[in-house]
Amino acid sequence: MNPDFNLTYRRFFPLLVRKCARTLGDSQEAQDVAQDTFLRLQKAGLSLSDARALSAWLYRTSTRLAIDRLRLRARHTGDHALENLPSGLSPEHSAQVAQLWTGIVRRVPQEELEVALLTHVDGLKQTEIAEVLSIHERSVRRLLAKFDERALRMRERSER
Amino acid sequence: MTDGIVHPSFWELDQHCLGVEVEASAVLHLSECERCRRYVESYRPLTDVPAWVAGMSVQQVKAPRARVWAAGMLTAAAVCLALWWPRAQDNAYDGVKGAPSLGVHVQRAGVASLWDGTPLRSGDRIQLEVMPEEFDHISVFALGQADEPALRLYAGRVVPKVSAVLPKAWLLDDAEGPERLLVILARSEVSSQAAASLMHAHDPGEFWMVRLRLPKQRVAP
Repeated sequence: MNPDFNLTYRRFFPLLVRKCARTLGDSQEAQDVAQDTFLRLQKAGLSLSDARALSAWLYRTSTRLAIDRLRLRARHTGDHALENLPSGLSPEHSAQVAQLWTGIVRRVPQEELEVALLTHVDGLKQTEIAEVLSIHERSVRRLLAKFDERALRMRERSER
Repeated sequence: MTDGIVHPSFWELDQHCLGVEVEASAVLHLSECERCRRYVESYRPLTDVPAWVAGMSVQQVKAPRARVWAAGMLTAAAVCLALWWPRAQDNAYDGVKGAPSLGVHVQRAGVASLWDGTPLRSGDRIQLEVMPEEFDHISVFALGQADEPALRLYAGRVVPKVSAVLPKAWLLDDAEGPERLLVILARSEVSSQAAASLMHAHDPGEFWMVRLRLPKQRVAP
């Protein structure tokens, strides 16, 4: 095994677990997703020398894997999904918020959800999201606006 | 971070942890914000790495002896008929001697029954019953689109040689497509990562694995 990969794992893994835990709200799942991300990194054969580019790739990949988990959780765990709201998206402990969140996870398109999680859970600025997702900043703004609009509509529906 | 203060993003704080240059404003913020400083100061690189990182290939992260009972896709009917149904109907169950077995219970409109292989419906609840034989841990995973163990639904201990109904039931939603589960019996808990390795193992270790594909039809509310 490449010693650089060993070093990369030791440096980045704890940060990635924390990032995944913020999104998933579950430390065991966070470990799993972080591990899976590193397995993909091993297969991807990326350069490990540029820490910023590497952490962008890890953020991007782990966010996508975490979304897969959230969607599966929303599908398979039914009401249990309400127990694991990401801390950044649960301002109140109310069933309404939980239902809204489950609806968001189930129905919001992938790209919008990626941008929303990076914004609202990880607190990234639009320039940082553009860097992490390798998209233009304009696209970030557009996706975020669409997400906000969609979430607002879902919220209004849930309050009726 | 919703206290009204503009904090650097976790991304930027992570860059700082890694020794990557960040904006001067972030460095200044760290000197003033205890919360962000605590986040950065609590970062500790690992001193040790898992075996597969240290030098083993992914395929080596498992025990040496192979015993996959059914590595291929088992259809729902096959599982039901070959593993459970004969046993339920006939005490002189003569399946694979000494091999674990698995049953699927379905609860529909308050009535529980053994699954007969016909399509399940949204709103059904399913529960698994297992005869673990010599194994003492069971892990159940939902399989993702690429057939990977994407989410661990349950993990717990079972008593060897004692049939057990798992304490967790799952409500089927109205999403399209069949429900696909992976059940692994082993001698310790199996993470999603380890399960993925086991699925692709040419020489799997001492465990028992079965994939369930439960056809499902959507029922209008």
